[in-house]
Amino acid sequence: MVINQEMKMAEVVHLNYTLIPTLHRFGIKLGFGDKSVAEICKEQGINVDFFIELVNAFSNKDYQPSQKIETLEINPLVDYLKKTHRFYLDEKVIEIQEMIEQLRKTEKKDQKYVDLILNFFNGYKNELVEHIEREERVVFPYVYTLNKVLAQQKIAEEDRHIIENYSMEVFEEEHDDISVKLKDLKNIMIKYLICPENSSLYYNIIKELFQLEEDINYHTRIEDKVLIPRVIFIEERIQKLL
Amino acid sequence: MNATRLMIIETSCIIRTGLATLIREEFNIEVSEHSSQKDLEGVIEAIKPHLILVNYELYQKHKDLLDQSKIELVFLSTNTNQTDASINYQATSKSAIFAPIEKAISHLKTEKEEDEILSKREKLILKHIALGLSNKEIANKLFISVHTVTTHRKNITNKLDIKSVAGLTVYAILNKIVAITDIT
Repeated sequence: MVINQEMKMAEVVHLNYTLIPTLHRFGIKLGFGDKSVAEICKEQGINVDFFIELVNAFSNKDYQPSQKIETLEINPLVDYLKKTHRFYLDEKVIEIQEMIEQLRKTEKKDQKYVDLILNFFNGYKNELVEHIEREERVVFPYVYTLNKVLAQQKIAEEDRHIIENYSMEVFEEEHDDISVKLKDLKNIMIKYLICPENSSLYYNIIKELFQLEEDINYHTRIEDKVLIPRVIFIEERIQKLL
Repeated sequence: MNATRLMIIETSCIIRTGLATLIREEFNIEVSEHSSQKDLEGVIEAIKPHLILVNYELYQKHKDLLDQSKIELVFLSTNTNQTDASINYQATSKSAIFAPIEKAISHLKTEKEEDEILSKREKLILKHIALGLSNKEIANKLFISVHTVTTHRKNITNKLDIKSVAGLTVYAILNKIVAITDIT
């Protein structure tokens, strides 16, 4: 079902409760009574078209961006992606890490197996950090620069350097799949490890891994289907300025 | 998978035939009987049993052969304290006979199931992957082409549902294909 701005925000959450962290990233707090999506976005100063694009991309795996994408504001989009990055690194990953450490404490017999999981997860975390840092160090500044140049309609020398040394085409190519290790970890825990004594904690860790994977897939979808086409649109216009 | 084959090595005809009859009735497995120790090696080679019930005295005579064969053994003995995998000649109930056999068979099954996931060759390749060798290094070491290594690798990944080297390494450690201490 496609979400539109006349719908009540509560309905949206009922449709897909996994959207709650996304709302949180927008600064939208629960307890919205009967207010509509449009009303709440207005209150929070969020561009409603932008919000609608993102939640629809979230709920629908086969999401195709609407025509409105050409007019989407770039800065809020990048800010949103950055917030998502922080959510992964500062909250989710740390939470899962703590859960695995907790599991290690309660496990007396097979601590070395839990160590394997912990090491593996740390390896995944490093990969994720590297992936995110690359985007924040290279990709986002590039996008900001493009946007600035387009607004000013002129190119400073240092901006020209940035623009000529990167492109969305490169990003598309290097934007690798960071869910491989996460899938492996889930499979190892589901298929090959014998469930430790503290099974409810173990199940919760698996649940968290599934959610993180889903959330990251969604995030990747936003980057591939919203950010990339939107920026390519700017690139085309910048080409005329060069 | 082939049916489980059990072999009885016992000199007494009454005991041998009696056990074979009971086991055939109770378990769905192939049973072959052997009285003498003549050319035991050849017989084992031909039958390839998964499990051998053997008179403890005969076992001691052929200890080397039987131990080296790595076949699961259950002893027939008058002294049950010898090992828990044994049937007492004085057993008075069927369950006292079946329990050790059942245990040995279930043991057999779990081992076989694990074996089924990866072939010996694949395990060897996996071991080298876990040790951090590249496809080329593995190919050189095992005298096979890089292409063959890639094919094995693909099969391992598909069978296990694990794609990353780190994940394969964890699997290898869990299944004792490599020791944690071997990993650098």
